[in-house]
Amino acid sequence: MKKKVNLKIGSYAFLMPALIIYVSVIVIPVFYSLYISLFKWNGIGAMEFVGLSNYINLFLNDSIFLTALKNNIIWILLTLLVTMTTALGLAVMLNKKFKGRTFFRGFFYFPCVIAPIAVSIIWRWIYNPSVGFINEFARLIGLDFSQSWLSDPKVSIYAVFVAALWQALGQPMILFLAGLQGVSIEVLEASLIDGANGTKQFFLITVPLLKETFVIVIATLIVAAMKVFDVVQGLTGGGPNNATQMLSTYMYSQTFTYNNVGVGTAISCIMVVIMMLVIVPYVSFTAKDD
Amino acid sequence: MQGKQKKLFKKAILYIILILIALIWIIPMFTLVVTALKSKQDFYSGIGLFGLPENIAWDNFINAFTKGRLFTYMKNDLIVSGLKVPLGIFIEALAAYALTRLDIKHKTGIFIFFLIGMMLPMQAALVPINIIYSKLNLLNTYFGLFYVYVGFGISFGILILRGFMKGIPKDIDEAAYIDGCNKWKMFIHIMVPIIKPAIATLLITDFLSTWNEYLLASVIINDNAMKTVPVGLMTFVGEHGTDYGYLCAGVLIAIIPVMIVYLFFQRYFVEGMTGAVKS
Amino acid sequence: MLKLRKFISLMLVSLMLVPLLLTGCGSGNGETSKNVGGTGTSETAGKTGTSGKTSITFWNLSTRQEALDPIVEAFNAANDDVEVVVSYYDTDGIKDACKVAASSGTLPNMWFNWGGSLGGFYADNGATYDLTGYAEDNNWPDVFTSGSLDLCTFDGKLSGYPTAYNVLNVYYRKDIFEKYDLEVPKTFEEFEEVCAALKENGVTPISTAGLNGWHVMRFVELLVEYYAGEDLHDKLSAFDESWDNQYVVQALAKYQEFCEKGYFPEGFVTANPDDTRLAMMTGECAMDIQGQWYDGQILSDGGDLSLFGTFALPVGGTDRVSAFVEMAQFNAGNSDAELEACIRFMDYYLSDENVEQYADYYNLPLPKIGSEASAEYINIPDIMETAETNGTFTITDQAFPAEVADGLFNVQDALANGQMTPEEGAAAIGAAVEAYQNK
Repeated sequence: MKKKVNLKIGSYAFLMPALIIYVSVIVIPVFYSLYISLFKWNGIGAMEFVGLSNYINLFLNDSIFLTALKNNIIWILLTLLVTMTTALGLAVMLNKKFKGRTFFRGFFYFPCVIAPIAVSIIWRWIYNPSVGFINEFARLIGLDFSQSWLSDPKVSIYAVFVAALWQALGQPMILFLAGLQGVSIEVLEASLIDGANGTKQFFLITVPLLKETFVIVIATLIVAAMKVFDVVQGLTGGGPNNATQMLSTYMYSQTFTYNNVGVGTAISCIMVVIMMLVIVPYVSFTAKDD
Repeated sequence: MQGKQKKLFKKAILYIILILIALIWIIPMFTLVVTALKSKQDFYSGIGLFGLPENIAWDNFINAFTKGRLFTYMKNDLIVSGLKVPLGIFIEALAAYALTRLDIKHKTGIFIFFLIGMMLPMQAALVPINIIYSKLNLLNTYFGLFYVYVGFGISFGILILRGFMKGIPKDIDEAAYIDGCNKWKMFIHIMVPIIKPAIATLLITDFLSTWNEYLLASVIINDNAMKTVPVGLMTFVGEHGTDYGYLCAGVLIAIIPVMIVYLFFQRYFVEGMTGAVKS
Repeated sequence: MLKLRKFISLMLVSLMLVPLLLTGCGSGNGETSKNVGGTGTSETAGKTGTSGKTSITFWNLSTRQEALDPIVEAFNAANDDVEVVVSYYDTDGIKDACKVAASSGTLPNMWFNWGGSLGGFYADNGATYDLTGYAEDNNWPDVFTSGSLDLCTFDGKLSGYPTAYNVLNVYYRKDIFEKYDLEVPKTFEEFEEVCAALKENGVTPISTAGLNGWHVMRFVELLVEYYAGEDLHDKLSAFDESWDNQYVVQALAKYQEFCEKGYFPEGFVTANPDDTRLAMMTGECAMDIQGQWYDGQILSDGGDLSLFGTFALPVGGTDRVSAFVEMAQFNAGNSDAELEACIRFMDYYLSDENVEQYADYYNLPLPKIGSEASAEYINIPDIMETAETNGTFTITDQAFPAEVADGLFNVQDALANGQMTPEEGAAAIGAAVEAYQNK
């Protein structure tokens, strides 16, 4: 009996360091945010209890919040449709054996390591309507148009997305690469014998075998899409006229610029809840085999 | 010969597509490098944002080190990242091991609990952490910064390591226990060596995110001599305008350590993630 | 095996570092945070009396570092009983850092701030030291310009030590004007003609950029001044009158007209205001609304200052120009010794010798009576004169609380993109004001 007890206490000891640090760094701020979101507070002065009215106001009266929410959903969809498929495509290509494969892998991952402030600056120059690269290049090859990429509310969110795509593609690409390593060559060869050609093979064999990879990539991409901040803040600041306002940029404005700390933290709490709605089912799903 | 020709053809297409994408990919990088080489005069002389400068402005790089104190910031960042990353990974590995191998109730529940950390927007944590730290006198200390960084890294670290550990068959455990190993010995002597690739992977990702972390570093560290690179780079931004050549030079220099870490560990990278995604 | 040993030793090393670092040391950490109501060693270190040195923390912009570091060193050497420690932040970072510090009671002894709603926030919430009494006792009205003191006063209390008084004018390219035979406009109609002529000749009249709205606002507020007149403009800024009125509509309509006529650069709505001078330097644009610091900026960019001149936009009445201050605010929790030390330092920081030696790092001329800028800044005397003779109004993004300012900026964007009519714009601004007042 004594041995069993020791075993159990010992087990929890492995968990303790992470648990202690995690609770003190993450959990306390989460509860603090929840608490603050029930108040009207400017950060210094007295706090006024308002219950759930911050939340109610956001959903019912705040058109900017709803726009931000919509933009985040668009961003998530774009991320899943474009970022994920491009990452997968690149990973498939970079999985084939050829010379210089390692170089290309590193090359496409490279933008991930650049400081966000530089990303904003560079892409602003690329999008500059008069001297920016895109328009200059277009003029060079004879197309005569002058699109203002970031200033046009119809286009700006997509323009910012492309910049974000450039920067963030490396991470899911590497994840897919790893997943592809797990697709054993024997299985692929067996399927070839059975008559599956390239595309068929890909969709019927490879993709299902990548199931777990997809789940991890989807989860991390959704979290990143909800929290996207730096590239939007740097390129458009949420403008023009909220065309690129995101929940995180709006939360930042409310908390730090307008001094509506209660509202700002309410927005963070809403963000966490939405993400949990996606992540928890995912985790339960993958942990099924426990 | 038909088969071989087809293969060659396919390879050629592959190369072409990759090179095309790479050309588009490289444009922003090119801008960064070209700007770093321009002096202020060149920048404002109208040669265009993508034109090459007449004289390479090495001053930008020199200034980044002297006026910009970039060396200090890089040194600080190396201290913080270099200590935080291994320590964090160790703690995460311990927890992941507990969650996959040991007799603990509600493993999945605890794991989900750990995942919330990934979702929390960092801005939400600024004020409570500042309050707590000021009371504990941890403001403006590297220990305070480590602590917060480890805390924020736990979610992703456990996600990856737990996944990889799950992929390792339990037979190995049983064999070890029969041989008389206890939990700790099992962990150190068997588990850790096996998950080396995952650790290497996390080393890169974690080092990257710690190196480039701006928000918490700017709030916790006030002392200029202790600033890290992202915070330090912001000092390159002017009040009414920025010397872009200077800033780009600083950005380029700041990338170097990260690229070194990446290039060194990236051979593990692919193998490493395999376990996590196969979970 | 190697990895395992590495891990264990790293763990042990880190654990050993814990007590070391817990004592709050870093490299050269002299920081004492002013805990308003906090405990700990920092409090005692910050006070004088028995311990000797008064330690003062000062948060400032990193763009001033080149001058401030040597100045602080000299000051500390010359003043045995005081030690000043400076922390630097970028322009956005300092706003965030101060907000977070205010919320957690860890503001430094003194910090840099702008006027208006930015500095006023700290004053209104009791975080700043009320200097009214001190100013009276020490004859500040004889030292500082009345304009700067006024803008540093919130709700009757003087809440900062004025460090800069910035005035905006229209900077223009004299050579481009000459080339097309254009004269400095004396009336608004003439100004419009100048714009039209420039546009005809392929020059974009006004360089501006709409990211975060405040640069475009510099022009829009002048339009409001023109159409609403001085009195109404002041009332509007104080929210004593509603923005939903015909004069605002006219101002917004004129702004939209300028957008449609292409008087601003292409895609300006999300361009970065820091880059407006690029167009001015290359001659792509001919006018830019800037403050008197622009002279120094042009020189440091290697431009030819003789090509630039300034004028106050003819907006009717006395052609008022907009102005704003920068100040050093002091912590309300400062002890007498700390306050005295802070002011002693500020006096030294803004002393004539220092200003002369490090001229580039100050916004000259100082807000002190009789202060002048060095002769190479040829436009500064004219600009400061317009402030005196024409009179000033507070720049809008400081007169407004941030939420309302953002409301205005959204309207600016929407008008530029044709998403709103001027009537809708005026109504939207009015609504933003109301929402703020009903908060």
